[in-house]
Amino acid sequence: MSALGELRTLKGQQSTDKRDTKVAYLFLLPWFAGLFVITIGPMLASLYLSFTDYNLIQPPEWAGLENFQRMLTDERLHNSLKVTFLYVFISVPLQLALALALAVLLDRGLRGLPIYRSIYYLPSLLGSSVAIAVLWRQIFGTQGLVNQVLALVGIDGRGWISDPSTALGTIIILNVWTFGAPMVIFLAGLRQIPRMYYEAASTEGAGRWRQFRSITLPLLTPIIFFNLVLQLIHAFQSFTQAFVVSGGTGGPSDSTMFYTLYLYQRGFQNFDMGYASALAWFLVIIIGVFTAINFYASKMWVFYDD
Amino acid sequence: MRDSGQRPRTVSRRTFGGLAASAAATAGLTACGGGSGGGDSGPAHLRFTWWGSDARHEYTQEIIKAFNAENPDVVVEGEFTEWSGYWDRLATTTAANDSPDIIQMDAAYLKSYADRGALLDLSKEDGLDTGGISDGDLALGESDGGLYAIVQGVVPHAIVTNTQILEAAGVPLPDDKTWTWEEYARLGKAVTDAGLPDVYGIQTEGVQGPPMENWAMQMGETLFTEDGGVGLNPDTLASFWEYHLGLAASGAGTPVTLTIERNPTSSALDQSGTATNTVAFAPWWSTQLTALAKASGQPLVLLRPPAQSPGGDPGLYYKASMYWAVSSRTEHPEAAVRFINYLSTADAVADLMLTERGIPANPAFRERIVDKLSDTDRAALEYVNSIEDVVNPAPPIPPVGGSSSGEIMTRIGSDVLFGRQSPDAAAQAFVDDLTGQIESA
Amino acid sequence: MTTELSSTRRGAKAPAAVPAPGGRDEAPWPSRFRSGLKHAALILTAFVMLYPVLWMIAGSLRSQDQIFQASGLWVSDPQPQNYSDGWSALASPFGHYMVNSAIIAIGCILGNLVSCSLAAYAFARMEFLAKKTLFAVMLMTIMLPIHVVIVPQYILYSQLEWLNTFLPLVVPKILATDAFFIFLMVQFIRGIPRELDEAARIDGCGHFRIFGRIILPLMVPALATTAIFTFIWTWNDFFSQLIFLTSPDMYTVPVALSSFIDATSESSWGSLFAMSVVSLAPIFLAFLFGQKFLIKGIATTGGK
Repeated sequence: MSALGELRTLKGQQSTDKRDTKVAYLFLLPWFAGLFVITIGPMLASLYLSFTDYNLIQPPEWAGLENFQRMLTDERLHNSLKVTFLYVFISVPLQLALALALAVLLDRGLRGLPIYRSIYYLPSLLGSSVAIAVLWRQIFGTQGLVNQVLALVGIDGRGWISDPSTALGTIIILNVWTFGAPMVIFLAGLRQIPRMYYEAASTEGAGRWRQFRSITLPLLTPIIFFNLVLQLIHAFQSFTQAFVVSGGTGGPSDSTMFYTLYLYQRGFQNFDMGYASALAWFLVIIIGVFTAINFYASKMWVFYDD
Repeated sequence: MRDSGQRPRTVSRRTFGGLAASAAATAGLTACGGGSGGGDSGPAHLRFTWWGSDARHEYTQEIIKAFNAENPDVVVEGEFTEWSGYWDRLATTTAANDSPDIIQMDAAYLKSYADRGALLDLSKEDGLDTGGISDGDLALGESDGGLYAIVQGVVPHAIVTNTQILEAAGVPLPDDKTWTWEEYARLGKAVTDAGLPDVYGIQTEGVQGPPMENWAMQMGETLFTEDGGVGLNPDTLASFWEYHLGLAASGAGTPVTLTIERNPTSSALDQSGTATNTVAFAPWWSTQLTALAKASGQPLVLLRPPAQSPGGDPGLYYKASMYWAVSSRTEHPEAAVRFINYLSTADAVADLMLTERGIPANPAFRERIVDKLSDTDRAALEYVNSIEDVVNPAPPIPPVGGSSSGEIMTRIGSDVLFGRQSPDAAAQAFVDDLTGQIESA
Repeated sequence: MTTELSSTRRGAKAPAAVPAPGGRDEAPWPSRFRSGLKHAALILTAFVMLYPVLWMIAGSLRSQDQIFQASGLWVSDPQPQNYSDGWSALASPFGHYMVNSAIIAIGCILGNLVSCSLAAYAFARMEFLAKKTLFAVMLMTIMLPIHVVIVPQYILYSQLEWLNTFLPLVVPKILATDAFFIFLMVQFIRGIPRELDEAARIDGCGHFRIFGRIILPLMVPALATTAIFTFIWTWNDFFSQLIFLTSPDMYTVPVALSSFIDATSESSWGSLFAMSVVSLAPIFLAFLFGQKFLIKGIATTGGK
């Protein structure tokens, strides 16, 4: 990636490579303004609150490291970490693979592509609406559509949403179902690959699969990498889908209690915003570590043209 | 109090077309200057917030309009949303010292706000007039000797029963003055065994609070004590779970998956067994009858909950369905109290609200509206009147930290229904968890 | 779409053993068969993708007691009045909330396009002091869950007297706080061959002209992606709009939609579904017809 990748070239010549600083900061002016006026203040406030006992109504009271110590023994928190990791490591690869496959399929060469693309994108528009909450029950409920279909072939279904062992699965399906978002980014990325590469490969008699392997995939790596980083951050913060499907409970039996859902419950339902802030900053550390690993590993597989 | 964005509504809301809307919105976008000061001489601006769905939003705005017309020195402005967003917004605005002046309040959160100083002690305000609301009902809004909220409506437990299903299954309508849980299970089994497609006799419970509190009341217990502790005996809770596990196991009640799916905290009322005509008996708050009947389309009646023994205590009490409270940071306590008086006593309010916010606590309201009610609303009102001789005093409202009792019930109850914890161990865990929440709050 | 056509045609005429991707003219039988198979698979997938949406449309035409009792998609007794009821059920006609949402969405799109592309150019093409640190800070700002910053944000906006206006929703975008899009654009700019800027630099162009004349036109797909995402995210964003807009006049589509239902009282599902369909239609159409910008890539410019 850009900044970390640049570091290699920066090493040993740091003083000389700041040539663009003045004009670069001009380009970054809106971002600096946003950072200092809007973003930093509330972030620092929440960092401060993470060291306090704060019930939202009365002023916060300094509590030192108490909130962080509490995290060590909070079993519901440990469970929510487990749920979140499971979700991240199953749903992100699934969703990205599906998005990439369909982006390549829907890139060009078929009649009616714009319509297919739009239809496949439609679920992403709906993703978190109230309607989805009731719908998911109609589909995955004990007397829902899935079980009706299964009954036709003689299989006795179960309560997919209400059974703690399958509830998370339905949310993973919901997330994969909204693969339209990364698909759109892949589509845009595919259009950046010069056609002439394919033409040259065709002339040399390379098959479709070989073209995909040796042209599409390597040239798309910056975009794959972007989607990976983005979806990973998103998945760790995943809130709405579990909130909508479980009605905000994270149930049954905490089986869909995502980290941010737990944090939200602590903050807003239990009036424990100090602890919620501590949880949030711990999440920043987790996401930060995984993102850093991602960036570090990217040096080995992401191909930049520059 | 900020004043920006509070523009006088001079345009009729029905003719407020797209063009006017975009103009107003653009004005909103650019109105970043200093607040257009209301000044001391102008009318008092009050923000009034409630949760609900569109029917409630519509008539509540009519109420506001009527009040504003009668009180030219006050301008009440409504802010509404649905239940869960409502509490997020209230917590945020309260934290930022910007909470609305008049707040629709629920028993679960009353003490969380009152005991932390967010609400005004109305007993210390001059001019409070709540009409004929009884002292017992007013006490539902008390905390630590102060009066922090005025109850608007009350609502008792009931078993909503689908008579069409009973008829189809050949099961007679029971006598709810004498029936017991044993008979309840037997009738439920008979309905299920009749083999109507997808129909079960009883909605099995175990993950939501109200039926459990009804059960506890029958044992003479309440979830919370007057001094803010947990009053529930773990054995009582275990027996409640054992009974419902028995219903699911015998087939009299729905399978446990359907119980969890239809838990009202995570599922819409319209997706419930009663609303979809797939159970004959289910516990509800009596005023939900109208909404259920609309979704069901079949005849539904209200029965008293079964008792532990023939002719025993059905464990009924009047729960406050809703309160009005005033923010302790309001700049216009006098005007706010006047608005609360209006909500509690004005004829216009009675006519518009009917029983939509619970059976009115003010007896004058009940008399006034009885002839204006729909059949199901009247049935709910008559039910309330019919149980007066057996009703118990209301249990203490949840202490600070106790608002999470429903969430704990759902979580631990799911464990019990899925056999991950025994009822005994789970009941102890429930009491311990709730006690911990109260102590750490 | 013309660009796509011309490029496939070019491919079809290449003297290659490999059949051109979907060459339409005079396609031999096996290729036509394969494309038929592809279509069948795509249509089947489309149905699975669409089923929930179709169910919602069916629900928008059903009466309250049928919505959760009827199964399948067939509506035996359509109730089009759900649409008129829903449209006029709340304090203002539903169109009012759509206009509010549209104003916010357009403001956010413009803000994101300008501010994020400027920042992205700096990160992708320039060398400057503390670049690595700033990039890390930028990514960190999107790692903190909104629920713990909403209260401090509310206090901030309250002091700025921005509450109950669209400013708390739009100004942050103008100030590039959506770091996702900066990162997205950085990745795209790095895919643009550097020779192009080098050539311009030799011609004496400064950074602003390289940015405006070369980079911007070449990153149209990234800009389109940003526009689409910003639109949809703001159109669906419930939490911050709920918190910062308190007066019903200022309500947006998601907040208005949520007003149809309430867990504790009677809900209007027919109206909810009807207005969900109405609010979905513009985004769907925008996406259907806006795609040509998404797929207008460097491919059509010949590359290097």
